[in-house]
This record gives sequence, structure tokens and C-alpha cells, in this order.
Amino acid sequence: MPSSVSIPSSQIQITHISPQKSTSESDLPLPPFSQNGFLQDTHQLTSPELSEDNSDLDQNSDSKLNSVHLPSEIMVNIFSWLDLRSLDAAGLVCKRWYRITSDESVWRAAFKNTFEGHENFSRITSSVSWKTEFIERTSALKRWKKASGSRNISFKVPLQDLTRIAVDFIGMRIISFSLMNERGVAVDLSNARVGFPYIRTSRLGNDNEDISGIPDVSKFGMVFPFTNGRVTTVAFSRGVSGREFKRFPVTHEMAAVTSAWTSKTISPKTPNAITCVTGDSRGSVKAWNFLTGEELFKFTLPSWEEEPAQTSRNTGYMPFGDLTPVVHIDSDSEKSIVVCDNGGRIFHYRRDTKDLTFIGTTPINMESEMHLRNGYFTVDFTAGYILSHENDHIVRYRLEKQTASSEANVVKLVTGNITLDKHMLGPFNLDESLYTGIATSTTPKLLPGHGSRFLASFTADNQVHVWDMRQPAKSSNDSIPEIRPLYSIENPFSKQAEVTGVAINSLVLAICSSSANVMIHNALTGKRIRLATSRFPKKILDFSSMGDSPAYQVVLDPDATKCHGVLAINNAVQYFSYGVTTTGQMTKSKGVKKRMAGHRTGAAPAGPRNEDLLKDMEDEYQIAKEIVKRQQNEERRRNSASRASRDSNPETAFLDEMTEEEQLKYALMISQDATGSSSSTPSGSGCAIIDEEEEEEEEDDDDLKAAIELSLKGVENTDNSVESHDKDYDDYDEDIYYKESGSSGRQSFSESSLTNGDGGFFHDTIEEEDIDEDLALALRLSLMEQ
Amino acid sequence: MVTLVSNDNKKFEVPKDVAYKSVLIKNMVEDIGDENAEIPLPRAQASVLEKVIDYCTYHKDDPPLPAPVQKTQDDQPDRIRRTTDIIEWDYNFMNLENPVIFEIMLLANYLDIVPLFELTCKTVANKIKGKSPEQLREIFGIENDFTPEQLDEIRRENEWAEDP
Repeated sequence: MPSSVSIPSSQIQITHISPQKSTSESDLPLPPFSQNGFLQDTHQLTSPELSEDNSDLDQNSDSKLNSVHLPSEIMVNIFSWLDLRSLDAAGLVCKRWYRITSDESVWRAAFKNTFEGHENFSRITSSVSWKTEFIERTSALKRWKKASGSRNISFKVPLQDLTRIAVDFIGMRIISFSLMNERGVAVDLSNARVGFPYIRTSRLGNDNEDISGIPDVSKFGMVFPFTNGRVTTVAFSRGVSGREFKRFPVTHEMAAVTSAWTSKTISPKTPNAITCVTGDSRGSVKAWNFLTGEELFKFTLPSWEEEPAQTSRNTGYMPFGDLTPVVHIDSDSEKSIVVCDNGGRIFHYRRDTKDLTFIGTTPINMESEMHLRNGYFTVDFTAGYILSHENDHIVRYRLEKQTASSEANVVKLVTGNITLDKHMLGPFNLDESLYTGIATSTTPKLLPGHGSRFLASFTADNQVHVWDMRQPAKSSNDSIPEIRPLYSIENPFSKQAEVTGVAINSLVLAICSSSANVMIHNALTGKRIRLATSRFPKKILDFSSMGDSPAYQVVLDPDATKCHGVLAINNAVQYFSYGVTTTGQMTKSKGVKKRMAGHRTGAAPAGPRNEDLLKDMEDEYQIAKEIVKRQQNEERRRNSASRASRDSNPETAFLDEMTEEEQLKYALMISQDATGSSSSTPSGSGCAIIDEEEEEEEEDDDDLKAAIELSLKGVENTDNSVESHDKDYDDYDEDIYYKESGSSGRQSFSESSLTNGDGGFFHDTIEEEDIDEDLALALRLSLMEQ
Repeated sequence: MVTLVSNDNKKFEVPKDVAYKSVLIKNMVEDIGDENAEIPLPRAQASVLEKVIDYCTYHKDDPPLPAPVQKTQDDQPDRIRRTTDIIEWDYNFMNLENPVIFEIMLLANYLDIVPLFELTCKTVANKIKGKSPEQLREIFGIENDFTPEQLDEIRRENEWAEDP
């Protein structure tokens, strides 16, 4: 707050106008403080005693000392008490007010007023402006609150319990892997269409190969570790069909691959990035190129004799001799890899210096479901910390400059009398916002949010805790910024329901309950916003038939301006979205009748078409052919072995009902969808479109028209095969439910229309140009600047 | 007692604890070292100064605000600022014409009386709240110097403020 007022020139001008003062005096170069003359004037003009007997003078005074003549700093102070709407109106009053309401400090104050005094937060925009951040945040929160335009899509992934899931919010698909089935599958979130084929590990490797360790999934694909040292990746380049199987020519020799990691953020196509890392039973770690299998570098963990872990936090899992199986891997996709072995030793490898540093230890519990799903630690590569939990503690290690003395930074959640079973920490969720890393490059103090980052977890007594992870200031590299508790939330659900999972992004915190609900809270203040999920239909999620420890997984889009997320419980999945309109796959359906696109090899695609694309399609065809062949061989073997086993796998049974030709057609159809050569979508696997309520856009879109025409053409000669799909999928169709704002309930597929419209086209365009997340981010950044 | 002299040479004898509500006066008295010295306030006019003294007299026993100066780090969330947090006495005290409020605001800022300055800001902010731009121009006597095109452009910029 300014301690003195600087008088702007506009006030001095009053002295000129003032009739009481001679011009000669006001012409004198007055030192800034000797404003007696001016103040006397205004006093005489405005003091009630004087103005009472002279109404003319009174009016005069009103126009003289009004807000126009207040210094800007003071106006900023006044405006900083206003809310968003009032600021909006004030900005329309005059040019000066507009200028002042655009002042950053006004918006910073407005931000603090709105969000209960908080100004350390994770940003949702790339902008360095408080105004932009405030407006984006406010409108995104509005979208969460608004019920209209909401969408809940529930479906069952045709696998048993999902061990790992990855959600690609840009491509609107969920990629999942089930350890029980040893299979993975991708499903389109917008229409519950299941990718074809299911990625089954036995088809990827030889028959005698078993997977060892848990495959890692990202939105780009999956990586499978095998007992015989081989590694296989499956890339999902577009759509939901995996189309690139890569068995790496080089393998881990004489060792089982025990751990696999793939980049969750960087596209496998990025040159020189670390996109795939595997570790084996002998402690060797190799970094690969996800797509080509080219080995980037490798290193080996020291044996226990070389580097014994001297810590009380040891785990009881003593390894045998030299064997140091790698059980968990994480990487920033660029230069750092953090691994831990089954003795709980954490190592950090730097690609540039080739240094392998012992960081510390973490408790390893091979039986822990939580560890199975979430790994043994969380790495914040931006700030350079490893977070691990041990009972009620957050244990934080620095990634760099680790010496024997600079011990772990242990944060106790509860001090004093603690009961471990009550305060046992659940898995961490670090907000993976798009803009967390940007703050460090400039002066963090001036940036909205001050470079903070949210960390959420929950304890066994159903309390949810959120911390503010500050990035270390550039100047003070040695001081460790504290993990500041932001708030704790009591179980937001009824007494019977337990907190089973949390997810946080820079805008909201999602809390998942054992009753299959997701509550959305404001990530900054902890205030409850809404219940985001709708009730699962019993067909999709039956609590009575659930196992002892169902796996709850809740995921939010790291881009917090998009208000949507996914809840997965065992194999039941619900996609919830609030006012999300820009997703690629969501389609407009009003007025478009149900169309099936089928076998149309020669049909001219409506989308971009060139030589590459055609070649691409041909490749797809070859791949699809091979997939079907493999699948058939597999099915034949299985069928001859045991009919009963087929019944236990009804999700693949439909293949038996199809002739080879039909299967080929089907595979081709899928692959064509995947190439994105046309904007129409085949629907063989039970695709359905949701009627959106507030759809005002009509189909004047050329692409859409072309798509409809195309699909009309395609329908005639493929009706048979399509019908057979419909039949085969009947059971499955039943299990997809939609809930729209206003109209809830299930949509019958026979009535639902189908097209991929402009939305699909948009998505494909993105793929065509190979715009991955990073490019999208760059695009958004550049838009922001404009 | 501290003697304050306004710019029209009116003298106000004020108890020390009242005068010390102003950080400026407190510093000046301490600088001079004589608690009975006359403090000239060349920027204060008698009628406004009188109002300010009224305020300080009523609030002389208030605990000092958690001074923003002490906030070396941004780590702690600020006080939650609400324009509705105004006690009744203050509300009646602020029942004045705009120009007078502005005078008090300027003087409170000059004398560094934070609670009073905040009070005036809150009062003016409350007058702004919920008003249309036209009403605001009328209340504050401001001429619209925008062209209609400029206004339209700003409105377009500000579409976010509209309720869904």
C-alpha cells in the first residue's frame, strides 16, 4: 500500500481552473509536496459548510473531485475489492477505468478475494496474467457446476479387473490392461466402442512366453515385459485400434524383464526422447525407442554388496546375492530415470552424465495392491523430488545433490499420537498440469500461482489431504521448500462409503468413494463443487459380485480447462464430462440417421487424401489381415482344446461366428477407421452416439455431408456382415449406458444414429499432422499470446 | 497530547493513542522526539481532518491490523477481504457524499491509516457493485469517452463475465 499519494497532473490542472487562484501562482514550478493551494481549493469547494449555501458551487464540486481525479493506485485499491461482474461493468465506464481495471494487481486481488485468500496454486493457463488465470479458472469452475451439457457414459471394458489404465483425453480413449486376462484393450470414451483386436500378450510373443511384471500403459500405447527377456510394444497411433506391434530385436539377455515403463507425456515419435524403459531381474535397465526398438542406453544397478542400503526404513525383502530385480521405473522422458529394486533402493540415472546415484530407500511390499497399481514412489521431475510414502509419512528425496547427510525430507502427516492403521497414506496424486514447469523460467513471484503444485492423498480414516508443493526458488537452491498442507477434507460421502481414490489437477480435486461416486472439489479451497458421476447400472457394476478389493481408479484431464474425467472400478468405466465440447470424437448426431460404414476399399474418402494416406491404408489392411489370421489360429487352438474355455471368454467368442471373409472385412473396417481416411465411422463394434441437448449446429458441414453420403453407399453391400456384428454384440450393447443432462437412461443402439462427423474429422486432422500433446500445448500457448 | 495543524491553520489537540493510529504521525512524533510538538499537516483540510480524528477516536482501542508489511512471504493466505465486513458505526460514519469520501480516502492514505483507507475503499467498492456502466457514470460523474465500437469490443472481450 502506498504510504503517500503522488498527485497526478490532472489534479494540478484543477489549480488552473480554480477561480480562487491566480494563474501566476499555479504557474510556479511547485515542488510535488507543496500542494497547499490545490488542497485549499478542493476543501473550499467540497466542504459541506461552504457548499450548503451555494448549490451551484456544490454541483461544481461534485464534478471537480470525483473519481476521475483519484490517483490510479487508489483506484486500483478500490477495484481490488470488486467481484468479477462488477469489474466487468467498471471497465465499461470510461477509458481510464478500463485501463485501471486491466491492472494486474486488481486481478490478483480479485483472485484472492474469490478463492479465500489463496494465491499459491497450480496454474491452469500458460499465461503470466492474473486476469487470464482468474477468468479461465472461474469459467472452468462454472462449467463443472453447470448441470446442463453434462454427459455420463458408463460401459464395461470386456476384460476382468483392469490393472493399469491410461486415459487419452485428447483422443478420447481409454487404454487398459488386465493382468488377469493378460490382455489390453483400447475403448473409445465417447461411444464405448471397443478397439479391435484386444491386445493379448500370448499373441504378441511366442506361446512359451509369459509376461513378467506389469505392462505399462500410456495414452500412446503399451509395453509388455516377458520372462524370456523380450519386450513388446503396441502403439495406438489413432483411434482405438492398436496397429503397430513391435518386438524388439534386442532383448534383456539371460534375465526376465521385471519392470516396464513408457512415457505418459511424450509422443513416441519425438526424436531422442526416452519413451520406453525396461528393467530386468539382474538389475539391468535399458532405454528403448518405443517405435523402433533402438536401444538408447543402458545401465546396471550395483549389487547389494556394493551398495547396501543402510536405513531403518528397510523392508525385510532381502534379495539374494547379486540379483537386484528392478520393480519400478519412472522417467521425465528426457534425461532422468529413477528406478527401484525389490530391496527398496532408489537410484537416479542421468543420461547426460551417465551418473547412477543412490537416492534412498522406500518400503517395498510386493503384495500391496496399491503398489501394484501405483508403483512405489512418485517423482516430481519439475521440482526434482521423489515422493514416497511410508505409513503416515511423506518421504521426500531430492533428485540432485544427494549426499549422505542431506537426508530425506520426512513430513509427518499427523504429529503426536498416531495410529498407523488410521493414518496410513493412500497413493499420491501429483497434479500433472500442463503448466507446472513453466514458472521456473521467469520470476516466479510475479507469476500467478507462484509456481506451486498440488499433491493429494488420503488416509485410511477417509480424510483427503492436499499439499502445496512449492518449486524451489532459483536463488536458494539449497533450501528445501516446505510441503505446505493446504487443507484436509473429511469423507464427503456417507458414513458407509470409504474414500478409495483421489485425483487432482490444477483446478479440481476428484474424490472417489467405495460406493462408486466421484465428488469434485475446488482444488484450491477444498470446497465441494458437485457429484460428478451418475449411478452405475447394475449390469455394468454389480457390487454383490465384486471381489474383496475392487480397484478404484479416478483420472482427471491434466488440462484443467477441460472439465471431464474417468472413473474405473474393476472393469466398469464411467466417463463424466461437463461442458466439454472440443474433444475430437464427440459427434453431432441430430438429424443424422443411423448409418453403417462398411467395406469400401475403393470409396473416395472425404477427408484429406494423398498418396501417403492410401499407402497408409494399405499398410493397415496388411496389419489387419495378420491380426485376424493370428486371432483365428488362436481361436482354433483354443476351440479344439476346450469348448468350455471359450465360454469363459465370451468377449472373443463372436469371432467364431464369423466367416474368415467377414472377419477380414471387419478388421479392414476397423483399420480404415483408424487411418482416418474418412469422416464416417464404422459401427460394427457397437458405436453409439449421444444426442446432445443443446445442439444448435446443423449439418451444413461439407465433410459431414460427404460422410453421410459415403456411409449410405457403403451400407448396401455390407449389411450382412454388419448385422452379424450387431447380433454378436447384442450382449455387449446392453451394457453401455448414457446419461445426459435432462434425459437420462439408456439409448437403444438400433435407434441411435451414428456418424463421426466434424468431430471425428477434427480429431483425424490432428493425427494427420501428427500433433501430439506437446504440439497442442504449443498451439494453445500461441493462441494465448494472440 | 499531540497537536495537529491543518493546512488552514486549525489546531486539533488529539490524545496520543488516537493520533498514533496514523503511522505517518507516529513516525513524525518519534522523529521529532517531542510528544507535545505541533505536527503540521499541510495536506489536511480541517473539515476532513476532523472526520479522520473522529474515526481514530472511535477506533483507538482496536488491535492493530496484521500489517501487510510483516508479510515477508506470500506463503500465508491473506485475510479474506469482504466488502461486507463493515461495522455499523463505520457504516454510518461513511454515510457521506462521494467527494467527501474521496477526501477522507486521500487523507487516510497520506496519513497511513490502513483501516480507514480500507474502509473508504470498501465503501466506494460497495457503491460500484451491482451497478451498470451507465449508473456508474452517473454516480461518479464520469463522461463516457468510448465510441460505441470500442464498447462493443470490450463487451466481446468480457463475455466470460456473463452468467451461463
